[in-house]
Amino acid sequence: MTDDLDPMNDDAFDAELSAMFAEVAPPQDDPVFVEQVNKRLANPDRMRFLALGGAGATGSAVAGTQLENLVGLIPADQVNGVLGQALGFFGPEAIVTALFGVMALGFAWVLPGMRSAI
Amino acid sequence: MTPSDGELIAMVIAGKDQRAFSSLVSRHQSAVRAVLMRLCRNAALADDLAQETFIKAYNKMSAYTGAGTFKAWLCRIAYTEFLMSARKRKAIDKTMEKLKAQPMETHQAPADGGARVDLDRGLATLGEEERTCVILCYASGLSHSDAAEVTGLPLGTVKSHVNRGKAKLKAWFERKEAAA
Repeated sequence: MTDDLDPMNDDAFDAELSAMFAEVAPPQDDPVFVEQVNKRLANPDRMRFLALGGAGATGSAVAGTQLENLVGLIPADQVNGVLGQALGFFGPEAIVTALFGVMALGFAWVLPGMRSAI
Repeated sequence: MTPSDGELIAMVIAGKDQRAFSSLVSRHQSAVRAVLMRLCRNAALADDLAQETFIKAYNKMSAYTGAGTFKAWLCRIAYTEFLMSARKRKAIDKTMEKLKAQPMETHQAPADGGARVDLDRGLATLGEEERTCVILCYASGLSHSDAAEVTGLPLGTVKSHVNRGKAKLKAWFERKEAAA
């Protein structure tokens, strides 16, 4: 097909075609577009975070009820040392709450570093 | 002195430097959007895909090996985004057809729009691969080898697609002029 084209004519059409594409191209400098990209980078996909957070919270709730049962099974009067004193003094609910508090702090420490990798 | 693409990329990889990335976006947005606009024939969708392209590029910047040009790497992400979006739209179109709804606006040429409409109508007469190769080479100024890397087609195939596409476009514009 291209063999039928006259090389001089082909060059002329090449320039014409390039000009047509250039005419309809977006501007070389578009701060609005750059700003939109920056905004989306600053606010990553919220739905994704909400879905992950929701799934995590559900999992934690299920695990929490099991952990509370587990801690409740330990006979406080038969456990010696710090754990025994803590069980007697705070009760299983407070200990589970404290454990989850520590876990939440751990996530708060790790997640900001992971945000850019998501 | 203006930093090169390589220097800006190194700054982004080293410290997720958003200002350096903004410079890269500013430098390459026109080429990426030009390709997507011609492929999608819908400015809003093209801009959305272009934003997605740059966000993916930012998150995967360390995967850029420097083997080809940065623009070609961006265009490859953009082309993948376009293919994924086209697949989704195809599924939506099928559902819409079943519901006997109107065809999507994205597949219709606007009633008026001068050069853009002419060019899009001309491009619509090309085969899918011809159209993609012509758009990559003319809308973003990629070389034939860059276009081959983006599309995954052999270099010779890209060259013949571009030449054949160009010949078809030339004939289409000549017919259009004669008719006018």
